[in-house]
Amino acid sequence: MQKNKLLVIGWDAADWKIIWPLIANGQMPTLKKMIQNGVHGNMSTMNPPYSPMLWSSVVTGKTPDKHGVLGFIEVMEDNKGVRPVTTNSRKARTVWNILHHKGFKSNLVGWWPSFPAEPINGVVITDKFQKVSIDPKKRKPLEKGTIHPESLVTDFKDLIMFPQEVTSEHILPFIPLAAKIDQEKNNGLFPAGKVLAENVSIHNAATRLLRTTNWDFMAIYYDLIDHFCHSYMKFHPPKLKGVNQDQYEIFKDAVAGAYRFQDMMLERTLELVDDDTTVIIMSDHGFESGNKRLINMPKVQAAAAMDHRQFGMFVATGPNIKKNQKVYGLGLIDIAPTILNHFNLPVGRDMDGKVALEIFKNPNKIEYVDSWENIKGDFGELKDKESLDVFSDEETMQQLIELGYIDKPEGKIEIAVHKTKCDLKQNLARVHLGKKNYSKAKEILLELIEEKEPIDVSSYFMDLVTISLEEKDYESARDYLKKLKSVKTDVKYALFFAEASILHGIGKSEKAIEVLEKAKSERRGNNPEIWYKIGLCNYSLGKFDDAQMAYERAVEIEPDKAKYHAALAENLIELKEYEEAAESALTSIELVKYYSKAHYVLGRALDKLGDLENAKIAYETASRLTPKKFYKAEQAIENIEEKLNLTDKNTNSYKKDQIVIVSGLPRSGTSMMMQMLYKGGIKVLTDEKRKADRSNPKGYFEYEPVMSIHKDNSWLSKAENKSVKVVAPLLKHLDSKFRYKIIFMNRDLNEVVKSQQIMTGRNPDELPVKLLNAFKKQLKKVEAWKDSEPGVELIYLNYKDVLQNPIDAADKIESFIGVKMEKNGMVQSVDKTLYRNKS
Amino acid sequence: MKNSNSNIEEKLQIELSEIPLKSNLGLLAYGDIAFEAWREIKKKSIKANPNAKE
Repeated sequence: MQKNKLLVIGWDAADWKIIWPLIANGQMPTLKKMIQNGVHGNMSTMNPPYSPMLWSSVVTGKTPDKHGVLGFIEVMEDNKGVRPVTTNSRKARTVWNILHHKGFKSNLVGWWPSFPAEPINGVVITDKFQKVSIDPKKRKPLEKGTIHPESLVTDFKDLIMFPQEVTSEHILPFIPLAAKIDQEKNNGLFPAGKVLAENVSIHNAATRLLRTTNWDFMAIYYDLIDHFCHSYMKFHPPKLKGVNQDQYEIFKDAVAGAYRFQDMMLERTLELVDDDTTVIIMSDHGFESGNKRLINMPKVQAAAAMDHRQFGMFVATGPNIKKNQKVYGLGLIDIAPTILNHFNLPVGRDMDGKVALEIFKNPNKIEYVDSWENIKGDFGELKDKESLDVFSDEETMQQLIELGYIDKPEGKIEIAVHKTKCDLKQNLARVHLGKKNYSKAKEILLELIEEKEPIDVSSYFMDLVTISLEEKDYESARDYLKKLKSVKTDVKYALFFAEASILHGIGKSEKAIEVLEKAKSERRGNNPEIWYKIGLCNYSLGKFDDAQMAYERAVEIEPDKAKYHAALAENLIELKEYEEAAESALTSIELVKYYSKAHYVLGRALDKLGDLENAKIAYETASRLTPKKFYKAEQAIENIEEKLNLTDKNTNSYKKDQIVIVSGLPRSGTSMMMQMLYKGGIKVLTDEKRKADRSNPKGYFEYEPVMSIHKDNSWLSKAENKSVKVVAPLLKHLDSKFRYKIIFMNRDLNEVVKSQQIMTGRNPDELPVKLLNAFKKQLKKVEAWKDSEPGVELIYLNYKDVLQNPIDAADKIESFIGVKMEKNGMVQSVDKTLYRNKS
Repeated sequence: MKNSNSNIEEKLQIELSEIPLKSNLGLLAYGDIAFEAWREIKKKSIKANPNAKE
């Protein structure tokens, strides 16, 4: 008997939201025992959540752009047709290839995709094994490549269960009222019988291998839960509005039945492995079971996958696995590195996942190779890509169509081929989008939008809108949205999200809220994403109480969304509820361990609570997790290090390449301050286009590009080690990658307004209340913004105080900027006679 | 990893000849041995009564 064996069992679409109530009712006793004896947690999926892509990421540790499996179907090598995805699409090595190379023995059963079987050391029962025609007359012998080694075909073919063999005794536990169904009119029983037979075939093959073979690694894949969910989740309690009551009564137990039967099969599986075996059970994604369930599928590519939820499940037991512990932040791409580490094998540096060290009692040391792909030798791979017959897999195609994963290829085969090619390209673009590789995603989509009918290009435009919003390119977003509205399509998009995001992005958050409120009332307020976006808009408007209410509602409706908790944490900081903020940030991290924003917000909360050491760790984690430079986190770390080193001092040291900004509301003394800095020896970034006038006889010291900083802030590098004037409303457009020292000029608001009235030729004695209130809001916003920008240090100087005591002001400025200044010149530049518009 | 509270184990106490013709989920969950035994029983039943429906 082999030691250190590892068994991975895939339960497609299994979801804790269904599992926990069943465990509580004693209906999944075997899984419950595993949870008690091992670790369990969420399994984070990837986008797009299409199962063959995901299960390929599980066994390669790589994202689909690297492993090449990009959808449910693929185009044949000779472009003659399309077929369900096969091993031929995969271009990266799997764990079983690596284990083969290292002399280990692996068994695979039903892995998606695994046909045609690879000649590995062990047994491969491919995902084609269980797919048989519903019509006994059409049944054919098992195709070459279905089982490796071929010598096992005779033995295993008799383990296939045919749908006709399913009896009422098999069906009634899932659908107790099956007898009420008029099968002439309602084919609702058909999926249960077919899917059950297929999964029993897989289980038969798995139990045969477990009983009769020696192995080191074994992987079994079941699609029972996923397929039952696609057919019957809309009938699962609580009853959805729009579902027929009679249908609900008949099918309401089907999904729970699938989970219970899966647990029964698990019990038998575990009886066939010894206590030295490590067992992992996992799903690739969850499945919507609440209000977000879809009754009617929209006409988009792989529409059925819209029911897939972000989190699947993970459970592991074994001699080296911790007991009764919850683990956090696992992702699908972590499984392959973890399997390799279990077998003491090095992890490829080109793998996207990490070893899930926290599941082990005594983790093995992690070793690395650059890439397993470059290593020469026998990896048990197929020598030549097999030429497979397009019509040979009619059964699988038919099932994918019935499940809603693919459209029925209609008309000419070349159209089906072309459409599949477009779908796969779009999937690749979406993978790049998920990895925030926007330029690659855009490149593909810009090609796709040139397609002509019968290709529906609307979804490509929708993806381009999403990318433009991610890139904060609101003009392009608006442009693509306009084009999307003009193309011919049957798909109904929820465009209000994009419209609101554009409005929010261009600073019209109040309008964005109006759009969202309208959409909310149309949807009876049950969409958490709408609440989240309302929260974002209120947050940027400085309405933190309203934002709080909206975020809390989003979390209430969907508590598993990490970004909702992170946003809530960020808002709680503004409300000065630092402990609660830290808690919300930690909840976010529990859900998605590698979520840099959540770590950063946790750092801010801990920083505010005075826990500098842990705040520093949180900032460092945030910085490490971001592929690009996370300037804010790095600046926050510098600030903390400074605080830790300078606890007894209250000085602002010079920051390398700092930019000195003079800001304030217009007419609050900013030009005077620029003059002081200039005379004090600080270089000024100005184009002198605005000439001195009666209002500012010593000049404005302005720089024209500042006015369009919201479109282009690339000129900021020119301001390093200089000073530049930026009025208060534009501060938020400063690029976070620089360090700023901001001297913010305060002046009695009545004086500011009066001075502006004069400057614009209006009556100074008329007080525009609206303007005054807008200024007050603006000042509040600056205060909140400053607090959230670690690269920003800001002091307030009062205009009147500077005029009355310029020496004191010069001292403060020199200390704040952190460089030696010509203070005499600064003091002499202050001209008290310019203080004219007193309140 | 044995589970003594299982319906399946109860079923296993039954002689193969006692496997019901219509089978049940417990038998299916038991995997290959029970499945093949059930097939045998179906075959025997058809042999004994060729006109009967499965």
